[in-house]
Amino acid sequence: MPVARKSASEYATDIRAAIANRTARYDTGVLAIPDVMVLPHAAVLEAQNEQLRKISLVVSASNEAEFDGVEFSSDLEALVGNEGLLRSLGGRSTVTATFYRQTTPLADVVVPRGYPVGSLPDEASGATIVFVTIETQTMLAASAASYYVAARSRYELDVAVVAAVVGQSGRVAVGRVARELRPLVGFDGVTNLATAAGGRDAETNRELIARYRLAVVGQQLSTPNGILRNIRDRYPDVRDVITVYGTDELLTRAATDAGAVDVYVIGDQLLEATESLTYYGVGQTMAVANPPLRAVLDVVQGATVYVAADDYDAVDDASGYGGSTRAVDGIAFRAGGTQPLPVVGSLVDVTYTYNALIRVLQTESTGEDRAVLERDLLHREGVAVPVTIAANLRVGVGFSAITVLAAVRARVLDLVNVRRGFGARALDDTTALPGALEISDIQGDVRQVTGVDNFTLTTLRRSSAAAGAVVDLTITRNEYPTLADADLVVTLV
Amino acid sequence: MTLYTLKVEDGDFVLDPATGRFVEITGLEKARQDARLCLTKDVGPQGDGCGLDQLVGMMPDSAAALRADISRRVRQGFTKLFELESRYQVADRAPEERLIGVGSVRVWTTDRHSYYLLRVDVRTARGIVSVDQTVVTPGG
Repeated sequence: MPVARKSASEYATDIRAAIANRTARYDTGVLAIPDVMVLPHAAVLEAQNEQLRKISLVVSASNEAEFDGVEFSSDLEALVGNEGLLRSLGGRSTVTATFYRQTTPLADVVVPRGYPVGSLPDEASGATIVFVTIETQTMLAASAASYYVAARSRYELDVAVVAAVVGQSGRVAVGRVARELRPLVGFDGVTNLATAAGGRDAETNRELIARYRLAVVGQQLSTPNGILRNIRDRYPDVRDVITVYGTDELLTRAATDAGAVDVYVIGDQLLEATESLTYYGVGQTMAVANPPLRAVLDVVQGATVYVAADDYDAVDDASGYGGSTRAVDGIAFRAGGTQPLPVVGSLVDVTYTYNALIRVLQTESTGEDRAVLERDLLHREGVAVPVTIAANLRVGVGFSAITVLAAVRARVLDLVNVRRGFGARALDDTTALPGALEISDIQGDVRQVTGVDNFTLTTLRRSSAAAGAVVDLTITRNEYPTLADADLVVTLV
Repeated sequence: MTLYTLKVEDGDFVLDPATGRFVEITGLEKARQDARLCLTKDVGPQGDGCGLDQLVGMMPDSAAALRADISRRVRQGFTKLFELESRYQVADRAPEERLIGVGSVRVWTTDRHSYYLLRVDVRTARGIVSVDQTVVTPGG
């Protein structure tokens, strides 16, 4: 929570009120009591508040302008150290110093490594910059002619030098490096024929904060936890998320897509769309433009209304991209339906709902500011597993059977539909292991309803499965259970 | 209704030896103490106080100039004090302890101008309280 600025005057008001709580007859307005008991404390508290505000700002790394001074540099460095960042101490400028002489050298002349030369004093500040040679260079007498520069009528030897100080101050202009700081036999003088380049001041607090943010954001985007955090932070409609990558058996497209990472999501924002799709023939999928398709609402051509599961079927992608924006979802006409088939090549109007949340997630994750290189991130709808639950309920003596029954039903529906995520894991209990919708979970939950005397499960199965013994229901990691009101049957006994 | 404050003597709060508690004063005695403290203290965060200590050791252009400076500082400090009294606990402040105006400010000095004496008459709703102060300067 940010710490608000509070002035000494405001603290004084608080202290006055505190003293007045003891007795309102103390003169807290003028002189003796204010001078000793109110105002000094207020001044100290204001200073303390200022310190707390600074620390609060350091923690949140906000309001960079507050950190222009060096006062909180060490605190800031400690904070960014959590991300493994160190302040850059800056860089030194470099330039080529040209040592020259007018006469032909008769013996080899050496400029040793570490030889210091200085710049002429700055006209404004009087400051000079010391440069040091970073290599040993020799003007060879045997090939003296090669050092001769006719334009300047002298023999020249170029030696790289680096500023002794870090920072932009080392970027001196042409001709400024002109002072030999040690005696150097064999040369008449030194100069620089180009402007010194490079040289960067130590990283400012603002720059450090900017890099810290970059480190945090970068981490968010490139790690499994970062993906989860990003979605959790930005999309409140998402109930649960899992990330599937590497050699995970759930990664159905690993063999074809390099760098594939699937993010399964529970959550939806359903939008409706109507499209005119071309009919190609019986059994041919007429793909919609906005996958993932959730439900087909209407298929018409002119006055002809086609009926689902009679004239056509909704088609979900089974190629490994199902539930994503890459899915090929649509409808396919059957032969032998009630209505006559459309003419091949004609347009059929299809109205459907699709999950816009998946499309938004996909679009934003691949935007320039969020894309991670070499990663093929694909958001997919989690696989909903409709379950059927039946149970016998005996209500305790003295309780309203109707009330208890309603409470039990509400509790079970909430448990399965709201409080369970991928793999039927408990979203409100991070220690619970995913993988199954367990009898004991349902029992434990129902037993918290007051008035339940006995509760016996008679059915617990996937709605698509055949009836059998009541056992814990296995739910894989990219699946989540859903329970329709009609699939929950509780019988009073 | 009156307000009370803690009694100050020789720059410190006064303790009652019998109870060990601070001694509290009200009424005209409080008004006199308030006036004396205002005259003797430095200018505080609220602007009250005459700040005459700042003149100690000062070499004035002339005795008249220093007298005028003292007088100005006194009136300025007290004006701020009146303002504070009219802002805080106004309803609880009894007439005799409410300082409402500065009467005469008299400043004397010796021939050598080594120190200045001053007397300030401060009006309350129930009479005048007079307070004295001395300012020491290097003098002639």
